[in-house]
This record gives sequence, structure tokens and C-alpha cells, in this order.
Amino acid sequence: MKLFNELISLNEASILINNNRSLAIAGTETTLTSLPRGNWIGGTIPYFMTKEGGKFDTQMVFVSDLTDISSKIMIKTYNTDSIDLMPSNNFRNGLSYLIIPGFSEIHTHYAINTPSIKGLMDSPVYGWISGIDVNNIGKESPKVVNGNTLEVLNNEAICMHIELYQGLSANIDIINIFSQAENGDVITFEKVGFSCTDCFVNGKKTNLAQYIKEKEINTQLPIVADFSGTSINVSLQSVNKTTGITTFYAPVQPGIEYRFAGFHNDYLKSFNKEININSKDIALSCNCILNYLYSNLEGKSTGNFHGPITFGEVAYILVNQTMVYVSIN
Amino acid sequence: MTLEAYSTLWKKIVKGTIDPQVQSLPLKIKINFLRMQTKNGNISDELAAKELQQYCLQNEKMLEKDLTEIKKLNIFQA
Repeated sequence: MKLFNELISLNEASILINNNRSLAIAGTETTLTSLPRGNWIGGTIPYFMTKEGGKFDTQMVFVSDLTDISSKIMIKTYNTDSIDLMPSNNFRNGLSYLIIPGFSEIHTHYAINTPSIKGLMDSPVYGWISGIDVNNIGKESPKVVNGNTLEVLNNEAICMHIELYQGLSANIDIINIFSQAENGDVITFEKVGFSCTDCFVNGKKTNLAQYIKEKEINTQLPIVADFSGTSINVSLQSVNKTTGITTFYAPVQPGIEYRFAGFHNDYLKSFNKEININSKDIALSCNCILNYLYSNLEGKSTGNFHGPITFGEVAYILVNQTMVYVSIN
Repeated sequence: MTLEAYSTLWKKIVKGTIDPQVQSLPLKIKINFLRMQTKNGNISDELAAKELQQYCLQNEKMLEKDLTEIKKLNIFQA
């Protein structure tokens, strides 16, 4: 089942809001705060996958209209103390659309603690991490917006809990072109975190930054964990060879065996191969900003996948360098 | 499958001696999380197996295809 997913003007978005539509909206803080009150949630980001291809836009907003699948909606905000309660607000036959402000405490908290949130895997949770123009990182913070109240939040997540019409069901899946390099070294970590100095390479204590330098590893490649046949990435944010500190866009976890991803010299080609395989009707999708930047997706088509390009994706848990999509059957 | 055999099956899945190729993303995440928890010594294999079994029971409809395949697995597998 396809939904309305389009980059539209503020005027067009306002008409949809005023017609009481249930919407998820992506745009800059300026555009989102220009919209009227209504049944919508929003997150900041100026990058989008549109019908015309990847696009950077600060004037329009990307709107996903969820009205035709929802018999009921409930908009809730969650902080680090209340996020554990999120599954208790999920509808029995539902879908939760979650937007988390990037680089915030709630972002870190969700990344580290979600696997242990009771009931999280019982109902589909889709979403993304809000962001900003990459040239403004450090100058401003990503936000989320509660359309009901027009509150702008930088340390709370916003969620639209959707009750699906009877007979409909939502399925969340991911497209990840990366997988563990064959015969790659096994990397493990002692503790959970967004950064590390030492790790274990094939069981031997090693400084990760030094290892990356010595092996001349392309830092655009994520480290990849194998989750029962599904690859889950952790992307590298920075590698400081002087301090020996490596930072990540998602936390590394102890007890998981990671390997660097195998090299892809043409992201778009690999991606197109994957989207041909996954050619079903796509209701919602989001793609990682690193895929957009490293693969130069501006102006290039991503098939039937239209949505925001984000600072992290949520497929129940936080994932990186991945496209997440929802199909409604 | 007897109750005992079913329980043995979940223990082997949590330990990783049986590795079913499941399709459902939440089930994959759940299995991996429980394996990680047992590896780190946070919970026992028994408790993890019980939690996984309970999760599958609670979500029988959502996991129908995977559960059908899992029930076909041979518990005497190494």
C-alpha cells in the first residue's frame, strides 16, 4: 500500500494540516515552525529522497500522510525517564512513528538501552534521527516538533502511535548494502559506548585508531555486526590518530562480534540492485545521510523509496548507514 | 514436539548451537540481544531461552512463518 510521500510547499502542507490529516513532516526548523497546529509530528532535516532524486531543500517540507491507514492516532513525547513506557502506548494493531533529535541525550539513551526496553519488539517501531545541514553541525541542534502544541524540542523524542485500520498490518525492514568483509578481523569491545580507545582484534587488545591507520581502512566503511543473517552497521564518526580515540554514530556493544564492511566502489549500483529485489509497495522510508554524502546521491533516484535523509534510522533499534522502510499490507 | 524438546530447542537457539535463518527483523534483534546478554553473563541461558520462548508465544501471529520453520528444526543438531 502506497502513501502520499512528497516534498511540498508550506502552503500545501498547511492545507493538509488544516484538513485534519495525520502527518509526519520533515524540514528545517524555520519551515516546521511556520506550520499551523494539527495532527502532525515533525523533525528537522534539509535532505530528502524525492521522485526527482536526492535533494537538499530549505524552503519546502517533506510530508508523509498517514491518514488513510490510521483509525486512531496518539502523539506523545518521551524523555530518558519515560522512553521505557513507549511500548505500553502502542496500539495492539499499530505502528509507532518515532523521531528523535540527533546528538541529544535521548538519542544516546535510545541507542544504548532500546534492546532492553520491555515490549519494544512486540509492535512495529519505525523512525529516524533528526538532523541539520552538515555545514552547521556544532552551530545548531537538531529538533523535533509536536504539531499538536507547536512545541520545539531538542532533548525529547516525539512519537505518533498509530492504530491501523482492521485488516492492515505494518512490516518494517531494512536495506543495507554493507556486510561483513569475508575473512575480516573480528573486532570486539569491552564496554558499551559511542567511542573507544582499545578494542580486541581477533582477541588481542589493540588501539582501534592505530589499527585503522595501519591497515589503511577506508573510514567511510562501517563496522558490521551479523544479527542472525542481517547486517547491522555502526558508522565511524571520527578517528583521531593522535589521541587514539575512535568515535561512532551508534554505540558499540560488548558481546557482539564486528568486522569492517567489505568495500563497495559504487553505492548506487549496489543499492539499485537491492531495491530491485525489494520492489514491493513502500509506505514509508528513510535513508542515512552518510549514504547520501559518501555516494553523492544529490539528483540521483532511489526508485520508489521517498522520504527524509536522516542522521540515523530506527527499525525498532537505532541503525546506521541503512535504509529503513515500512510496507503496509 | 514435546514441551521438553521445545524448551531444549530455545536453549540451543540462544546458545547459538542452532542458528535458524529467521525472516522477522524483531525476532532477529531479540535473538541477538539475548545471545549478547548471556555471553556477557547478565542472564542465564535458561532465563534467556524462557524469555525468547515467551516472546514467540506472545507474538505467534506476527512470527507465524518463522515459528513454523523453527519447529521443524532438529534439536539433536550439534
